[in-house]
Amino acid sequence: MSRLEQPTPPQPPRWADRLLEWFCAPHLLENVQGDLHEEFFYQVEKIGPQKAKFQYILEVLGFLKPFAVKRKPSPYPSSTTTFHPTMIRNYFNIAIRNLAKNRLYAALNIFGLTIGTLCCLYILLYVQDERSYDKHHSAAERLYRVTTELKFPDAKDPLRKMPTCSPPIIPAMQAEFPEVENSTRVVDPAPFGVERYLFKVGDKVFYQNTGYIVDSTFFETFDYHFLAGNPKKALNAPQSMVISEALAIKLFNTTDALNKTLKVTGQVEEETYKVTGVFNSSLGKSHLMPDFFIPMNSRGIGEFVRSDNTWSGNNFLYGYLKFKPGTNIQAFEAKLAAFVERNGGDELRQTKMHKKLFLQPVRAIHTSAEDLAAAKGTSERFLNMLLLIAGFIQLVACINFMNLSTARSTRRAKEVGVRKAVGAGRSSLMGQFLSESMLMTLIAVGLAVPLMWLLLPLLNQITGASLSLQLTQDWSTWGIIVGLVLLTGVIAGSYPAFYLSSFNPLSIFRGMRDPKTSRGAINFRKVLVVSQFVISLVLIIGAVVIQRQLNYLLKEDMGFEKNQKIIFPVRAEESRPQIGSFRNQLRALPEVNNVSGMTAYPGRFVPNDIFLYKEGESMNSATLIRFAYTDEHFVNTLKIKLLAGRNFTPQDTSSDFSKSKVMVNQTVLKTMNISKEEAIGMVLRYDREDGEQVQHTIVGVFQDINFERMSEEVKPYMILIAPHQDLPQVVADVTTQDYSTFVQKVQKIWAELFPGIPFEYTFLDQEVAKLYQAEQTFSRIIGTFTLVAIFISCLGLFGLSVFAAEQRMKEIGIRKVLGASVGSLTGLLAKDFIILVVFSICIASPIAWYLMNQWLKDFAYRIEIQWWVFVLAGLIALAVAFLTVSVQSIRSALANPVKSLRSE
Amino acid sequence: MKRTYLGEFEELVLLTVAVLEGEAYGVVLLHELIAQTGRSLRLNQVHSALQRLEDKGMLSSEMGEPTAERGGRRKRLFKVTAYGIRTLEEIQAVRSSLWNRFTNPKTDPSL
Repeated sequence: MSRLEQPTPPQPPRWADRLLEWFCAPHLLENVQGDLHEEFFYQVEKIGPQKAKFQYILEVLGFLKPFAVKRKPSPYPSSTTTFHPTMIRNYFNIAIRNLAKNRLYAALNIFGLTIGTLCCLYILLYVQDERSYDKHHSAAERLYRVTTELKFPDAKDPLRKMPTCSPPIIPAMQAEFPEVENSTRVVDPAPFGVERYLFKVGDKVFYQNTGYIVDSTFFETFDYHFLAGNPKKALNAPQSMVISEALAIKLFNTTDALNKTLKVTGQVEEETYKVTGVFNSSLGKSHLMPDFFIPMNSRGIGEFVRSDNTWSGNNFLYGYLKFKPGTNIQAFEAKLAAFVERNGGDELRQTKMHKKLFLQPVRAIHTSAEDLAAAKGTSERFLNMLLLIAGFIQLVACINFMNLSTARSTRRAKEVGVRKAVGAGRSSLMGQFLSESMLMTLIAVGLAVPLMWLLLPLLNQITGASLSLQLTQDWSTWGIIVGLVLLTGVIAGSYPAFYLSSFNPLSIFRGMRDPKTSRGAINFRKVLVVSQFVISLVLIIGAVVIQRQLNYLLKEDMGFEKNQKIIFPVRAEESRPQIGSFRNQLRALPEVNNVSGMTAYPGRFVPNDIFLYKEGESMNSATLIRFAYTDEHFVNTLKIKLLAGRNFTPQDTSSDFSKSKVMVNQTVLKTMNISKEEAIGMVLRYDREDGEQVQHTIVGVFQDINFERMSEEVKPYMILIAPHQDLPQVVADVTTQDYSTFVQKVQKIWAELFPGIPFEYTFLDQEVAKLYQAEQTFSRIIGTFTLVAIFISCLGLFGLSVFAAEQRMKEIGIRKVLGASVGSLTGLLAKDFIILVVFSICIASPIAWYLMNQWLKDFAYRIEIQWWVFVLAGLIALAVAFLTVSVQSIRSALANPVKSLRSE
Repeated sequence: MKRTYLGEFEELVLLTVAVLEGEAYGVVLLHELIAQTGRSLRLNQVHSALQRLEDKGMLSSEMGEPTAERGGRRKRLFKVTAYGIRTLEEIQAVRSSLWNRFTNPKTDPSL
């Protein structure tokens, strides 16, 4: 050991050497590296080790040139037979034999892929369906909706965006701009309290959801499939009505309903309508799909729209434009500011309002629910999230295939060696392994499609969609399926194909395995398992957080009591006078504690609002306050806390709106900067354009209640008192165990008071829950996919643990003979996998934390993500992984060692 | 005259290989070139020139014996081929004819 006594000679920097080994062509490496080292030692003598090292690095970098990097072309000709039909048949033959030989692995792979494909396919179809809205119109790319952005620079109200516009805007656009080929306005009367129309045909009486009031040009702008009637003339005459096929059958038992008459009570008293068209609503999806259309030149809201010339307010119409082909939309949009100024500039200045108009493509309306207040439809973000989840689930299934194929590579190494020795090129070996994964995917998809057909109702229930699998009509579905097979097959098969075909035949036959590549493969396998569990864990944490937030929204104190409140809406105009006696009879029932009436109950959109300012200020600093009418029982029925002042008394009722008493919520005080003490008796004012002044006197202050979704901040609200017959939503506070008997009793009262009017009721807590439908769907979807992802990950883990146990059978046998216990052996086998899961928890937690915080940001009232969520998710994953692995571990630990040791 | 043209540096390298008589490899060539020309050179320049010359068929090479200072790696020893020698001779002939005319302008054969 004389060398040890000498100081170790300086060596070239290791990393520079590695870099060189990595980039330099193998056939040049020996000479280049040799020369570099020789030069290095020469330089050490000449200029010292430090400078020599620096020089060495420069020299290495100097070789980063094409001549040194370029690899030597292979001396063997590339195989031209790789994609020969005979070869392809051979690949599939071998693949089938291999599957049949390794049934367990094949089953695990196919099972995982089938479930993954099922989810993936369903999501793809769902997204495709959601994106197919309004694409069928012949001028789909030329259809735009006019949207409005309002700003009140003086008032304490933020920017408001809405998908609607004021009444005269659309006709003015049609008249002023030659680019506009056609235009139409649409009014949805539901926000005005007209949610349902009462239909009478012969002795049939029923409520039907509201239809839209549209301009007569509606069917020239949009394409609807008419079964009867002329789309161009259908809406010309007042009192005409175009109905859906379903409604026609419901009313007349036939779709041939042209010129039949029916009596309808809706926004005005009973009128007779004539059917002028029947459309089929199943052809082509549209965001405008009501049960019927009424022309604008009928009475009620239509009348108002026709006569109204407000350019600032009354933004309740949906306005649609159909442009001439070749119109530059951006240029048109740029002209809108001048257009608004030209027509309504003075009026807007008077009302101190800034208004901007925008165009929104009709094709995008259904999937842009997040932008504008329209509650219907989905958001692009949600769809993208779904696609991402689908991709991840399929990835988890693909990883199973990769892991199981590479793990068993030792068994196939000899096969690869023999094939290479008899002349198989790398490409044909890759072809063989790829066809194995293709075959696997084909089988999986072949199973998934019929399975999906069976499970479709269940899946539709989860997403709340109404998808159907139309394989014979819709060729795009086949496109999706084929694309899915190819993509999945290639992703799952590419790494195993690449890895297995890289074996060097010489070292395989020598019986030694290239330690570097095999260690790399094992590490890569671990990375894949970790990523599977990261995906599963993120989903678990996501599911838990979303569920908790949802529970918080649904159970959290909204400021009022929503349990055991039954709502009886009295819609028919003719029933109004009897509301008082209905309420009295209701109150007489023993189950009823209290009865109140209101125009809008909490959880519903409140359409009325007014700008008010407090004493000593002016309209310039007015606050927008929403209001609803109710009565003196409102506070007691909903158990709302009074903070100051008093409740309404019947004497407060005033027929004059401009001199009424009001109760306000806390936020009003906060926004207007009024203290609780000075609030009572304070007069809030509004200057009308005609010079009159509206004066509201505050009599009471109630605690903030969430009228809307809890994703919104509580807004300034106030309530006014109105006589009973003007309060159509009758709400009863009920204490009973037996709701059905109670409802039967009420129905009897109803039938006596309102003969011929259908009886309806709903529960307040259900109405509130409806506000969070999107979140509930989201929660269900995430929950389902979490289960699927964990399940598929565990399939893979199970396969790997079976393989590990098989490989270490002899080791286990020997350990057992030497006295190892079953517990210690199980631990030995499970340990490797558990470490991976723990590692995944560390990676997944920050990712999930970040993602869920992003999601929660949209809610004004939200939960904090607590540490125990991560612990819980981690424990779930650990428990599931441990159970999966230990099944196999215990089995091999219990096996008789004689069996494993005897055979050799 | 049909032959591959040589760059100035290539010519220098080729000539140096010829001078070293079968003992030429990267590092030795580098040191020799630096000593002869006084330029600051790097190994990659020498290697790339050697590779180009070998591609042109003016050099041939074979692997030599491994040495300890190279970490047990073999060196690639270069020899000038007959074609390389001929090329050098042709260059030399052109040069000397031109030098001749430059130093003795009256003996220009074309006059």
